[in-house]
Amino acid sequence: MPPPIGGIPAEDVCAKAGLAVEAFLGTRQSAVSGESARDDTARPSSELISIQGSGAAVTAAFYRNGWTDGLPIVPPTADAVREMMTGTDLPPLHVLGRMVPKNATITIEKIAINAVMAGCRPTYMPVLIAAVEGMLEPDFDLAGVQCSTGPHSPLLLINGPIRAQLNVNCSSGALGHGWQANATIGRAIRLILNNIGGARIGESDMTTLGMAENYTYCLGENEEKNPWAPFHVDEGFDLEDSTVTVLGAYAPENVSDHVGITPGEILTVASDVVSKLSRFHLRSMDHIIARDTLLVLGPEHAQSIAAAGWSKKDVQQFVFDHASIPYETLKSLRRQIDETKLINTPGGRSVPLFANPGCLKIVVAGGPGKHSAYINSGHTKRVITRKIAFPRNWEGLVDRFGE
Amino acid sequence: MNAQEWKVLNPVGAVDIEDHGGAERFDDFTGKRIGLWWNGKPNGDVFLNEVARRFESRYKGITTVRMWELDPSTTTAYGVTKEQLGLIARCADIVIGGLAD
Repeated sequence: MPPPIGGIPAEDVCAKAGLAVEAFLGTRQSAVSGESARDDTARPSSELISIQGSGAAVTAAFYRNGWTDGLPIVPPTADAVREMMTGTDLPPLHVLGRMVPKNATITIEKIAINAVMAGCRPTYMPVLIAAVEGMLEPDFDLAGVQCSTGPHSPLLLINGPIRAQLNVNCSSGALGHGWQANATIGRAIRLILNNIGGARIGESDMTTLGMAENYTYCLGENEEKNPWAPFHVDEGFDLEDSTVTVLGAYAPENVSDHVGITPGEILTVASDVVSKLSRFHLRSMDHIIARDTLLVLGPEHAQSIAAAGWSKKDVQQFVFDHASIPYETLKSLRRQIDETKLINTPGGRSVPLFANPGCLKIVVAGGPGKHSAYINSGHTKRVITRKIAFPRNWEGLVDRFGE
Repeated sequence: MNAQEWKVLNPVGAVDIEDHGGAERFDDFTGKRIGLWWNGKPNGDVFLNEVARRFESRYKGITTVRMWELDPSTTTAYGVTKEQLGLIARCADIVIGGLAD
């Protein structure tokens, strides 16, 4: 049935239901084995495609096939892909799993092909492999991230010594442009989602608007300016481990406070950014408040808060206590609220934004300035952090392919 | 000048297609159990209730099973578990899902 179904009068919904029933009863006899639509993009691995012309001709051909993100790509020649695969000891046809929505097989070679296209260096392969593994965990909900109408994309957060080895930007502009690692690792993930997973906008990826972060969404934590323990240490890893954390995320929402000095002042602004009505875009709160989300503190905000003796737990508790929406407001907007989960605030009974304070994960990133960001989860239930595994000759690869 | 020939690798993931033979089709729905699954999005229940009404008015002895009444936990847009799918399969001869959004 053509959209919409939600947000229209009941009689219009019933009319569409009637049409659906007639269509269903009219077509059931023809839906027999072998006649249902089959995936016609099944092709053998390592298929070589011959294209005449310049590099632009390769981009044009790939674009026509729907294999790009709209930007020019680096042609994935056999030599380039072979070189890309030196970034891992895993064999080319090693299978990581299957990727929705097509349930296509994810091989190291296919990751490498898309990494070449994105403009990655071979030393980015360990990050990509770990990130893909993380996205396959059920709590990541890749099907939701890939296919929903919401605007979200996998966010990659990199921790540990690999940040310096790959020159991952963790400081000024960490979520912006200009750094090859940030730009192309995130871009490779998008190409992997599309080309291996088979997400196609308007067909299987039903995103209404999309967002710029669909192109790339990758940053490093500014551990050097973090007044507390790095994020991956909080998640149980050793300081010297290199990790990548994945979250199906909405776009960052700016937390701008140039005036606040105390933790309460700064986090009151953060709580306000968190407490938006659009967080409750569904009728029921149960699937929303139980998700992990990120508060990315700029170093100056983080240091002001830590200098006052506050821990990350204090930050989490404050935002949990202060980020809420009045119950009456949500009720008036047809939200179904479980009254046993309301909290009492100075303004009256309110709906909390988190199931518990631990759902708000604290990260420090960015450079000088009074800006932080709140990043909401799109479908992902909890952040997934994976330790990055390195090939045997990692140091040699860093020397050879480093900037 | 001869155009350069590029030999590049296909980035598309391979899909192993398994033929499961398709779901059984019925010529007649008389006496059948129609399972109605709703993902919880607005108006999905309205849509499916109307679907149920039309089936009930057209075929005798039909039973409609509203999964959101039988087991509210199946009403989700965030993935139905194997156990929930098993329950749905046991309760119905045909399942009609309403996705909505």
